[in-house]
Amino acid sequence: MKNRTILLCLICIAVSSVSAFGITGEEILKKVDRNMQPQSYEMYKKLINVEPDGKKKEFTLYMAKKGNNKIIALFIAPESEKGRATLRLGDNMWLHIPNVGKPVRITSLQSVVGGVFNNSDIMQLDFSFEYKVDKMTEGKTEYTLHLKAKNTSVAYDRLEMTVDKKDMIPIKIECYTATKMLIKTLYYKEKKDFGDGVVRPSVMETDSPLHKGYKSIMIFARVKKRDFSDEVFTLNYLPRVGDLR
Amino acid sequence: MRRISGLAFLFVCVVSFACMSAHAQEDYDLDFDIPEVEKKPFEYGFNVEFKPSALFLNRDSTAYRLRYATDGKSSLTTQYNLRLQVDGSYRTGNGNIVFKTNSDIDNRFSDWSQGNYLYEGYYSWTPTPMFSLDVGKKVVKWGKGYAWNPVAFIDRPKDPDDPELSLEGYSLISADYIKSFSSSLQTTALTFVILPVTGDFNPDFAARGYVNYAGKLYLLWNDTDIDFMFLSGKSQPNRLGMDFSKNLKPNLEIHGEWARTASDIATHIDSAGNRTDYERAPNSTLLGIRYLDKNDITYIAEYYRNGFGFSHNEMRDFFDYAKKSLDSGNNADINSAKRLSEILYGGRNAMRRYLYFKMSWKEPFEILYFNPGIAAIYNVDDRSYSMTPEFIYSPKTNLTLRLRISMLRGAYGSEYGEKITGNKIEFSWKKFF
Repeated sequence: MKNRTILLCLICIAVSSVSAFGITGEEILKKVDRNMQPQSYEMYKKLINVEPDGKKKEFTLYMAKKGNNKIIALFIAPESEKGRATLRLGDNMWLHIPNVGKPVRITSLQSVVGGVFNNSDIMQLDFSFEYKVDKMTEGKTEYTLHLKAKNTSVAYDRLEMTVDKKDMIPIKIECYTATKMLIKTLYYKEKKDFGDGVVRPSVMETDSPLHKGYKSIMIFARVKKRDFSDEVFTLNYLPRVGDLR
Repeated sequence: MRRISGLAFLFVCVVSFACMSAHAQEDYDLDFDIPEVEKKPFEYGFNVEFKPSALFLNRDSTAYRLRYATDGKSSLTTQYNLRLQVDGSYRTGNGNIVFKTNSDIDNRFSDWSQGNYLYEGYYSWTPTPMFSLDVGKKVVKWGKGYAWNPVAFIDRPKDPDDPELSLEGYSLISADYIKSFSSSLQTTALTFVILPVTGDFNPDFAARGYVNYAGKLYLLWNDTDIDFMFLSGKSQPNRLGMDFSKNLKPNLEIHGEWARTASDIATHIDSAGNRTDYERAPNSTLLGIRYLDKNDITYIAEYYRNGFGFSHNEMRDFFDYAKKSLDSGNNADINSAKRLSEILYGGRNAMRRYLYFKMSWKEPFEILYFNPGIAAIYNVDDRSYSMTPEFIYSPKTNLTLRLRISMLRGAYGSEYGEKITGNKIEFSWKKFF
């Protein structure tokens, strides 16, 4: 009897993460990753912080990514931030500020630009590298993936990701702490064909109950597949990232 | 009158700091054009900084008495600094010409001065991400410490009171080779530097007429940054060092540095003014942590043992000698003490053991782009200290305002107790173009 109950539970768990079409949550997450970010690519991002009274501040970054755990970002505007560069190698993250010594280790929880976005939002690795699927539910037009962080180095312990069934791209992601407190919500908008098979949202908006009235927007431009050598993603190369552009 | 004008000036600074925050409202408009992505071969930018400050002088200090032994001075004085920095680059194929200039106009203790410096100016050749060659004047930046870097053998020393200030580089030839791996050893990088000290090249590095060599091996091993470095040549004694940095937890980082100098001539002045020179092989060490708490407050704490520093007794002997010279009124003795203070005893990090602590709070109470903080340097040997609360605000793009209040405290014969400045209020307006 006891064995039967355990077997029934296992079947229920397995069924909850497999859709009617037989696709598992992990497979959906991997498809989302590939649609959102090619394995090796470059792109430009504009971050806009909007305050409750409408004031805004903008930052422009150049980014390069390779594999599922190497990413580098360089601020190219405004002038006061120009030359700042961040490198992420898996759980390791460094910040290089041109005037200040060698790159210093930072955490994904910090924000290098202020506002609602933190380093983890800007230096986003593949979701499947950082999260495992705990549970999946299926609606008429969307899947909802309940994700749990694989380790404590990520900024959000749990994600609730709503994925568009047709395009396999996220529509909304709710970010929670380990105590299930909502930290922020990311909204993906304006689907765009960037060429070379890259079709993904070109705008991400963020709001947070912790920063009521504040909003941050991320605009993606020139997303392009490109191969980089591994040596680009090293501390010694960090001050030279601008050479890649 | 001078005191009133100084206070009026400070009032203007504080009012302008507050007014700057009431910046114009801009309409929000989602702009899909990103003109900055168009890279031009020649790029440049510049920033202007105006930094007025009010100094409340410590009239009982030895430094004050040595400076104004024959000419009394008010206890309040103002200083002004206007700084222009221009930086840019010109790209041609795999080559890149990089420059950074610094121009200052200063008014200190009622004396005007100005200077123009080329902080950096070098040609960088990067045929592949694995290899680069730099020729020219460049800041090398070695070490993991925030306030001090004992392993920064070929850098000018940082000011621990303001560690993020731009520094001038040295003229050198530097080659970098990087190799990445898919194992617990993720990266290795080898840096080799040739630093000549001849003629117009690096006259302030050390003894002229020699070519010096330095090298560094960097390893990223098991998520730990590790560097081994050396300096060899006849301009300075040979040096060896290492540093490391590692995240123990996602929000807790630990770092350290160790440097050994093969030989150094130390000088001791006793209370009677007798000079003794002796040879030693100093070791300098630094150990520090960085911690980020859930309120977005970053803490930096560092312990620094300066192998070149004076002990408490050695420092006290000097102050006794200076005091005796001042009390005697003998100009020759006073000038001798003044000179020793300038070149040996009055410099930064003159003593042996220090603690550094900094706490900075990112955007408290939902005030965007506002970062208050406090930094303190504690001299473990004589228990004197400096404490500096600071407020940084960036109300508009490319504009940074900073207000710092420094307080120096210590007993007779202590490092910070004998500095010329007791308290200092400094305002900075910095605009980037």
